[in-house]
Amino acid sequence: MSKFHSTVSRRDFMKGIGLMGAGVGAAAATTPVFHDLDEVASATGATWDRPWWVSEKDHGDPTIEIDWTEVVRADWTPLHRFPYRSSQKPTAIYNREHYDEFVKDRINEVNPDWTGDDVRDIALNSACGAIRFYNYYGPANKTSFLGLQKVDTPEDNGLTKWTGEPEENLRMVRSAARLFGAMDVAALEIDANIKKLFFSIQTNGKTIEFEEVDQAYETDTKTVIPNKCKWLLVWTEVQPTELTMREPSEIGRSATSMSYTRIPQIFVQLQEFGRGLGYQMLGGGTGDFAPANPCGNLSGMGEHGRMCFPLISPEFGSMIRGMNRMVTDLPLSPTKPINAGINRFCKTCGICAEEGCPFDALPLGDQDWVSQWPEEDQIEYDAPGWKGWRLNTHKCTNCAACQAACPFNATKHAWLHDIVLATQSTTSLFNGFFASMEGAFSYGLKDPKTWWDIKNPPLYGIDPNFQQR
Amino acid sequence: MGLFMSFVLGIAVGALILWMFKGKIMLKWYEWLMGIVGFVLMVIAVQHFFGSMDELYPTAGWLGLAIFGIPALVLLVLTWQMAARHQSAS
Repeated sequence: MSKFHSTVSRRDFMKGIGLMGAGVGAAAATTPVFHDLDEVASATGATWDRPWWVSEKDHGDPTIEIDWTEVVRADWTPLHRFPYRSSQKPTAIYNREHYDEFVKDRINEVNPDWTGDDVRDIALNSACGAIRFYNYYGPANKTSFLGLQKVDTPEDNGLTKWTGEPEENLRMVRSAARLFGAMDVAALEIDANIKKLFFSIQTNGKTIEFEEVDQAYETDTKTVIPNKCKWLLVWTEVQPTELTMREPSEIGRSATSMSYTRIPQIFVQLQEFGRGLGYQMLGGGTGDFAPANPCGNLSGMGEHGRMCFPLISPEFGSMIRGMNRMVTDLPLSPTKPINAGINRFCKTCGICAEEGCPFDALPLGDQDWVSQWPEEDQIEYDAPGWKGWRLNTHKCTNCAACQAACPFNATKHAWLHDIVLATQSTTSLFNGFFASMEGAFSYGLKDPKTWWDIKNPPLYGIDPNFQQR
Repeated sequence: MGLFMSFVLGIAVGALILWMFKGKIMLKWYEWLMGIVGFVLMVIAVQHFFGSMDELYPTAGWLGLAIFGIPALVLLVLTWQMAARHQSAS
């Protein structure tokens, strides 16, 4: 018979079990249990936790320079939403004619045998896009500006309108928005500077006016925002992560299609939530009111980067889709712009412009106050008053290849990403090294063909690490 | 899963240190340093490998395993060998 010698005595073993049990009991006793919405709104889970290496800047002062005296309200009507589709510039024509060839060249860098998307890839993107930009308002004869107006107001139910402190309100809206499918929310106070971001005339030909009225309204020629609607709610949505990493293939672009399918639904639900609280929540379209990037940048959603159109988030990289804007009279606590080292990293990196974009639509040089594109490739509208990078909208085919290339996209299962992110935010000394390691480690674009082999596709295609905060 | 692995690692390291003290195996301060650095690098190597596999970046996983794991192995073996030598000398 063998004799087993243990280094732990029976007494110590039982003591250990007892201590463990006490620990589990204490943890259970301190676990929060919510009894009502007040408790949810004030719970730490509903507040916005940022990584420690993300710092805040002052309102109106993001990591790019802005000269507010130069910023003017833009007339959207002479501009094309997707200029490259109709542009007669030689480079735009060339990009249109050779689109498939350029996309194939890019994908062949990760899969030399890839010849194009097959029938299931195309079917997937088509299905994802079948109800993208769905107009919930049209069948109800309503507009995105005023909303569906379907839910009862508090008065309809004999209730008092919701009142809360601005910070509490923002947390509450965040909780609701996350339930509806938004990734995060932020807010801006519509002061004299932020008003300059609003288009003077929208794509529908209507002006945007601010008036001293109680309720928002619109006519054939104007969209009127009451002055009391002093807050701009900004919210974003995350694209399916593995699909984003396979853009610009058609299957990869299902990521964009999925986001544009969810965004209109979230718009409607947020508007109706505001109505149910007793407030106005105006604007339900992705192109409404003001350009997306500045609103997201100024409210701390992310930083302006070299790829210009997509804002880059410290948490989600360039995987976010839609920096959506809604004007409201629900008091919200404004969120500040951030500094996470992203804009500074872009100065050194350049991967999206040098390797990512198949159409040479991204600028290679430094940030500037004006467009640096040559005359023959000059962009349609150069918004004044900010120092940054300008996308060439004639060359950009909206293929989203830049999004797949961004080093900030890591889903952070490996700790190394957190170490790199924290380091680059603290010092730029290693930025060049980190950018070069991106290629050495074969990060970035993935083979489109491998998406169908993923064993446990996450819900909505969003990596579980991106669903938590 | 991560928490469970941390528990297992913590218990394993604790057991190793207890065994060393019981066997009166004393390390010099630089051997402690090498051992700790080697252990940390090994944890980073293994975590990076499995994390990269979860991210579906196998090349990054294998490269990271080599970059962190080889120095970790060297340091840990060195620590063991140096400790064994002065243990047998005493």
